Amino acid sequence: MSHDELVNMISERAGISRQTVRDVLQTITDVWSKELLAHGELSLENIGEFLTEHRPGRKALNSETKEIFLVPPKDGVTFLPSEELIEWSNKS
Amino acid sequence: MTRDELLKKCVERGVADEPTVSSVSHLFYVFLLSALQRGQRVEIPNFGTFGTRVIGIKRTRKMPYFEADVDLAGAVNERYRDMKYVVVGRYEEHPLGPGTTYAGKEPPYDPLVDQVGREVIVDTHHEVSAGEVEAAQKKASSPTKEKPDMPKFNLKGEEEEGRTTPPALHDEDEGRGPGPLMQVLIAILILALLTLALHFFGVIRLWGPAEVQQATLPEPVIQQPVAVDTVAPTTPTPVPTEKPKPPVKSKTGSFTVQVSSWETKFKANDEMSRLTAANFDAFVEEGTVNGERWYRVRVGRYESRAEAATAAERLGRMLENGAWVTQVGR
Repeated sequence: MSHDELVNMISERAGISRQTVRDVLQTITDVWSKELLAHGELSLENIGEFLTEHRPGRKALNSETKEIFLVPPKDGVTFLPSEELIEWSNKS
Repeated sequence: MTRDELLKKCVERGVADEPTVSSVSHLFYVFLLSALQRGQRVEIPNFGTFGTRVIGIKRTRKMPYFEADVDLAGAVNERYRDMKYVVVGRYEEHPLGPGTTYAGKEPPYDPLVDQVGREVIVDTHHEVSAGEVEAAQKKASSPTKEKPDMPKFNLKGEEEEGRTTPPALHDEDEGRGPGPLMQVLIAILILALLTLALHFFGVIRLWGPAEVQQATLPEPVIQQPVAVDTVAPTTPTPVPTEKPKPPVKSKTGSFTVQVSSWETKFKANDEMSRLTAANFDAFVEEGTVNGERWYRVRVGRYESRAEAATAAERLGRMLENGAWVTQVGR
């Protein structure tokens, strides 16, 4: 489901203009992103938990070219889904 | 973050009133759940994508996942953004190759985690700090040009201190495999083995007796009824044993008796020579069955099928595999 489809469905269901829905969704994701960057974690009710995780650098080998290279360290985002989200995804 | 906290922060920004933000966030949650239930992905720009992937041994359970957007991932990974993969070397296998024993021990199963000889070790479990990656990156981006060592000429003929005579040259090929003479010997040995194998399977014939072992083939014996005179008994006269009559030879007959069929000409000729030694008019004919060439051993030529059938019956009693009537050239 693309962002435009999501905006159209919310707009039709709530009777709000598409631009307003788009702005509200943009504001919500901005708040989420800033919360995650500021505290390193974001816990959303009924959805799950977002964590920033440090992955250290390491040596690696390309088995085809036989090149040994260094993989730089990285900070990534990890998502731990809530039990409700898992249960709802497996409902048929 | 609870729902109330989210609503409060959004309303503070002045994007919309509280009921609007509340209804949009609630519908977003509802549509997100329904999309994940259907197995669809939900894309949210500047944040990421939600989706489900199938897990478990039976592949029946779905697990929701989240992929961070490029902007969000870049913002999270801000401090390592400029670091890239740096090639620092090249893996080289041990020059002696597999099967080599190292100080009486078997070669290591995983050469990546064992230190053996001149082998380059890649310990992928060891953590590399950011400083090491930066140093390697700088070294790779600005390679230092080393000054080549120029040879020093002793034009004055002065004796240098500490100069020693050069060591004796040794054979560099030592330990790198068999020499050229050994390679030639190995090639000759392989050719000899190949020739023997071809002879063994009958493709070629190197040696062996051309004569036929007659003992293996029984002599044809024709039993003739002994006439008994009941009216005037006389002294029994021994019935003269006649030699078996050779089959009717006809060079123009279209029927013949097939005895056997072989894949190799050598074996067919061997069988033919045995039959010829037993006074049969045997010959070999080539034929093709399903694209494969066969060598058929046949005996005699007959004008009619009946004559050939009589001869086949007589031959069949003598031979193990029997004989059957066929036509010449088929």
